[in-house]
Amino acid sequence: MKMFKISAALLLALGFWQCEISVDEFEASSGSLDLSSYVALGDSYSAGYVDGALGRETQVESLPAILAQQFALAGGGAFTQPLMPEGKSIGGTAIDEQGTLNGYFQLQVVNQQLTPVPTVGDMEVFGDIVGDQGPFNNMAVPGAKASHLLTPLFSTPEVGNPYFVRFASNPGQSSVLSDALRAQPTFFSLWIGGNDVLTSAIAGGSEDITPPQEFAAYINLLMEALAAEGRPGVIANIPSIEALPYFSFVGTQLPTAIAVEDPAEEAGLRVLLSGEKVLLPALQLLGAGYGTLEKPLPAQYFLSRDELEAISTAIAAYNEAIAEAAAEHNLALVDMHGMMERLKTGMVVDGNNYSSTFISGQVLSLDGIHATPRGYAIIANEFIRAINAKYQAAIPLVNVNDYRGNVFP
Amino acid sequence: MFVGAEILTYFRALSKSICKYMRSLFIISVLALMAGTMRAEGYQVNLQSARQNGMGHTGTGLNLGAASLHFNPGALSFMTADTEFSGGGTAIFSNNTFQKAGSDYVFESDNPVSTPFYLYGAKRFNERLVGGLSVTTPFGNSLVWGDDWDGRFLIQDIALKAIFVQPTVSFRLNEKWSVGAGLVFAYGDVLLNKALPVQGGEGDGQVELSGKTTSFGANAGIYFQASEALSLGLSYRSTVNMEMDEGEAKFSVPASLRGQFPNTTFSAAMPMPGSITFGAGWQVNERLLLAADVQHVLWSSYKDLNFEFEADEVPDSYNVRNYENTTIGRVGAEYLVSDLLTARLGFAYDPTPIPDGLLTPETPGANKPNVTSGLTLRPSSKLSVDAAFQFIWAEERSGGFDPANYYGTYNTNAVLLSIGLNYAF
Repeated sequence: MKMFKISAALLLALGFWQCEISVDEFEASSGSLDLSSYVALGDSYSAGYVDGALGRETQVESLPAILAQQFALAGGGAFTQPLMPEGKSIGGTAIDEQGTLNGYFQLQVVNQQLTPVPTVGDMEVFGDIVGDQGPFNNMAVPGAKASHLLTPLFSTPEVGNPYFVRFASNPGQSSVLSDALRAQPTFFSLWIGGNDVLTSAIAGGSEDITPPQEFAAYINLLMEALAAEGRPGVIANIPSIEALPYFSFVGTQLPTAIAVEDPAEEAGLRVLLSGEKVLLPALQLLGAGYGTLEKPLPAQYFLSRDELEAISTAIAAYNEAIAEAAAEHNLALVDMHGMMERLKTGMVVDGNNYSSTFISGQVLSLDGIHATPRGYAIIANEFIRAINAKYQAAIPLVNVNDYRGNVFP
Repeated sequence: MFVGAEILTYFRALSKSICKYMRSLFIISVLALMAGTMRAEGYQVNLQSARQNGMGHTGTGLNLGAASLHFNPGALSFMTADTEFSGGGTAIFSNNTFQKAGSDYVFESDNPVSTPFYLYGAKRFNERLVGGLSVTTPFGNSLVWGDDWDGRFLIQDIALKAIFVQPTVSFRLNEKWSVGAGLVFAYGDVLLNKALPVQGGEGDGQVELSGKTTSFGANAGIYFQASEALSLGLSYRSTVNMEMDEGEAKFSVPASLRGQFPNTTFSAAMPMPGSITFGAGWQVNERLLLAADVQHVLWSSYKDLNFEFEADEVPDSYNVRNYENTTIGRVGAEYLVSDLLTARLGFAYDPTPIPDGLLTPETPGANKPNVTSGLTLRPSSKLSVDAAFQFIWAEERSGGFDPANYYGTYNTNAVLLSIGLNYAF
């Protein structure tokens, strides 16, 4: 009898071993949200721009696409993007005299140095008109400033933005905002304002910065439509440009002193001051002997103290306007400025250390401005945390390790 | 190893169909039999005798014959036979699950069956003196999470083994007291893989760390036969520090980064923690023996696990562990059913040495209740065969490894089957 009991226990135990261990599964919930129609508005950061270009390969891993994928686990609906044709990409930098635009950058070994090298962009992408395939849930447009989202000029061929002309429902008539509303959103995300300072910062200046009062007015106009009738949403603020390798990397590589052009000086040149930022494209010039008294670095390749001051003042004012909009309309606010500051000193996520260091930091891609897919996944989790906290939701976080960082040859 | 693969397959197939009823049935059967058991906490392996495995791994206060070499060298001189050989092993079937914090991600490890073993030989030289040699595997860890799981940058798989060879003498002082001591020659090897956050065309980079080393330690004990019924024992096992100077690090990284990750050697050290155990035995009557042990494990010697690489290009890796001492409680009972058969039951509670905030998937420790059962068959007066069955289900533990910002809920269970042979003459 005892033998029987013992063998029975043995058999049962083996069976139990074979059974799955009980695990309390994550109970996803959208809280007070209806996520059936999520619409994203924004710029290149929301469009899926990676490695200096936009293409299908990274559109499918765009920040809003990642969010929608996680929303889907908590009752979210389908998410349609204006995807580009397979295998093609297009950026915004001319790579030759004819004005050919770049495609995705690739990391290659050039002269025994790891260097981001642009591929040739596919200009014909802009002729791939898909406006009749909407409405689209991802309405983000590379290069967009806050004001651009409000105007039909942005979709007008010739004068508008070619990325938007491609997928506007009615080129010349529809705006990003009006097309966004076509999807009858139940929830929206808005991350805009980067280009209101970056467009001039990338060109080494500060004269083209959107005045903060204007920026606040555009945000209010957007809110009137997007947050109408208490529609919930999430809005993100703007990181400081010093958090981007495009502005911070060259400074770590410089010799002790370099000469730069400055028309305000009698000699037309001066020494680069500490704290001033040399832009990423200056690397080539510095390699070609610029930065000396004979060949000072041209003014468009660095940001002076005054320019940096103007930029950071504008960003602070924008972020105030964004925070006010979030408070007034009861929206979730994502502190991207704060996250990128943390990234400067290093951030550990799921076993890896990330930083804002160029290439090896893994969050910022080969253009030094935009995130890698893994960077966008880390950002997506910031969004999800803010949404969960604001709306008592339990949207599962995304596994950032499922996404790629920078790819080495 | 000890159970044929076909039989296992049969058990699995059979069990699958009745899986849903299994839990309740199993709990009932455990209650009915007071049986079940498990593997020890941290990377200690308390499976050093198929007989003792059946009674909660008690035995410091018992006269075990040759197995006292491990449990309490002080008791060895009370061995009843002149010569005794004992050997056996255990098959551990373990499962670990991880449910990531804030995420719907759930993953189950795919651990290989691990097989700790023991061998004892003891010989009486005269009335007072007994000498012997033991070969045991008191530490080890074997976990396979796989190459692609979410925590791959912390660990993909680990196989840690230690073999202790211990020549021992035991001397009986008088009718009641006896002492014993042994010298431990320890061999250890380790193999672990983890992913590196440098991606190439073929995915993540990877490093394989492997190495082996030897070290020394000691085991000593006192045994006191207080009366015919009551026996007491106290044993001490020293911490054995395994230092490795010539470990091998092999990196698989994209071609452009090979200069930064050359294959190199490393040094590392890991303690096999010592312990102090007090045990008691009570022969209630001719048939029933009760035993209890309290084992204090000196885990606090495991403060960190650092890999210092020979090549300057490879940054050293410092990993805080800060384990805390634990006290394990064990009780066991043995009942002589007939001359042929002895049956055993036991229970142990093995608290985790791993503090909150330092819980890694490499050793996802938790407090472990452990129910055991076993039996001995004696076909002849010289030969006996022991078998034990244990079930371990760790308490669910939520937490993570702060330095890696990796959190979740771990569940662990294990089924252990032991078999042993004893030959005494």
